[in-house]
Amino acid sequence: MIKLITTHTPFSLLFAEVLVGIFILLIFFTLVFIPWSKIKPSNGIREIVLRVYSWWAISVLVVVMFLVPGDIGTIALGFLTFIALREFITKLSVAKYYRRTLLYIYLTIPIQFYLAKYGSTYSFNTFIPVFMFFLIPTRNIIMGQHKKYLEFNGKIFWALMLVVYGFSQVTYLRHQSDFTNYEGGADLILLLVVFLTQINDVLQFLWGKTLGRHKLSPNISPNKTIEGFVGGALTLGLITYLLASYLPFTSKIEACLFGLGISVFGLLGDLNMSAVKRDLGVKDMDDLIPGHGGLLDRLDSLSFTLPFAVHYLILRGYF
Amino acid sequence: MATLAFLLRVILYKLIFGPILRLIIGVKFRNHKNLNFDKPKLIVANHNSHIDAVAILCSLKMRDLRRVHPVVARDYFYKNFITKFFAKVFLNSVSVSRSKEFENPLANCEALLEKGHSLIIFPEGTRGAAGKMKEFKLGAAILLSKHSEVEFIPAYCDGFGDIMPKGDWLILPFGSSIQFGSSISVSKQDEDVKSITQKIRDSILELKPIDKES
Repeated sequence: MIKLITTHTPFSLLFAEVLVGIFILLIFFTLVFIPWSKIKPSNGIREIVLRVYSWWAISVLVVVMFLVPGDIGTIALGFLTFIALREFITKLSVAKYYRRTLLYIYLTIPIQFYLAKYGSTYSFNTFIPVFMFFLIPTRNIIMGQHKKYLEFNGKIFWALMLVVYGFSQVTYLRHQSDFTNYEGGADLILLLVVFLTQINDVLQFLWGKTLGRHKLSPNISPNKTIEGFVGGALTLGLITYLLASYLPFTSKIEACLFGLGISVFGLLGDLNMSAVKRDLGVKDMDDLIPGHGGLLDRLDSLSFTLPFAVHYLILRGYF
Repeated sequence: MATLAFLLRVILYKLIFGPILRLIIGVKFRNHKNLNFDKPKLIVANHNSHIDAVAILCSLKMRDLRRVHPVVARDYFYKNFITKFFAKVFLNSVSVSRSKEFENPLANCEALLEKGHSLIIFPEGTRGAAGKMKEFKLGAAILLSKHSEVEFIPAYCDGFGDIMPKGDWLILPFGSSIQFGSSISVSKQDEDVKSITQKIRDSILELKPIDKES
């Protein structure tokens, strides 16, 4: 089967192996969790079943993205980023105070994705954090009013960083990285980051379900427990240790540490989105697909693990 | 000619504006699948933006684009032959006069109702500020009291005033939805025009989303 994939697609051997492994796991999860939710329904399991559905969607989308020409993949990702950003901004009541500035906020998406694909590392990494940081207040100043000025600047800039800067890392990684001594290349590390992030969510849920006693953050997310987090992090560290040959790192210990990092940032991303929703007083960011919430509800942990992974790889000089 | 205009409207609302409103602007359409115009009906809605009429036309079924007509102001939409042409072809509109130049300003509307067609009326008469509802004009109620077989369908357009406010051309995504109610009939014996107007107003306000943050 793996041979069949490598001969008919541009995927490398390593990539094909991981892909087959992921789809076997997906089928396994579908067969385990959906009957479980039918027999013993609870809030936590409902959340996991929703995640299983969204993994199918993410997996199919990711495979399609790797198969279509790079430009179409980038445009599609840019469009998804737009939907995610729109979900966020339409929830902010402050957005309508500086209506005109929002045009520039939405125009950031094509520029940032263009820079992610063709721009230098400097321009990609400074366009939103530096240039937009000054451009947003500049446009507001031109409007000549100060009502909700600080609140607008802060919230909108933060949304841009979280959503647009965060998800453009995918395009940057795919098109501007040049791994030496790593057969899988950018596509495989990207696939693995998405995979490890999602697996981490499940592991933390399962450990919390079996051993969880102490709440990690009762105010933000009452379902999270310290035991779940520690168990999930250690298991993910073990998984990355075992999968070290599929990762670009030189030592198995570093692969293990990378797994621990993904676990920490995955938890933080999850708690971050929960805190955002609680602050905004909404249950879900959107109802794109009924019962599944919006895009940002599904991509909460990824919004932290993706930038972590890319910047870790840059800092350690892997590309 | 009428068929050509109908085809243009199908392309415009089903292939262009519909997908744009749903995907780009993120408008939520609610309870629009149950709309039925086999008998003449009045759709009455609040009015904050031109998008209101476009969104209502987008939520109709294809065949209803032939037999549902937005009622537009004669002095605004029919001020020269170009705007009149566009309003007739792309909106399938019927005009009503806001000044007192005609004896019965609703004559065109009544003719269409008698033909079995339906109308879209914004009883506020003009676009108001976002989130606020003006006093209602009596036209819709007069039509309902004269034609007792006609039912009305209330609709609440939420957030369109933010997407494209009056006097602005820049369209931006904001949280928005259009919610249709079920059709309501009025009997002419026991209700006068004032109380019908109040009934319409209440039925529209009932559809307003409650979780809206202020």
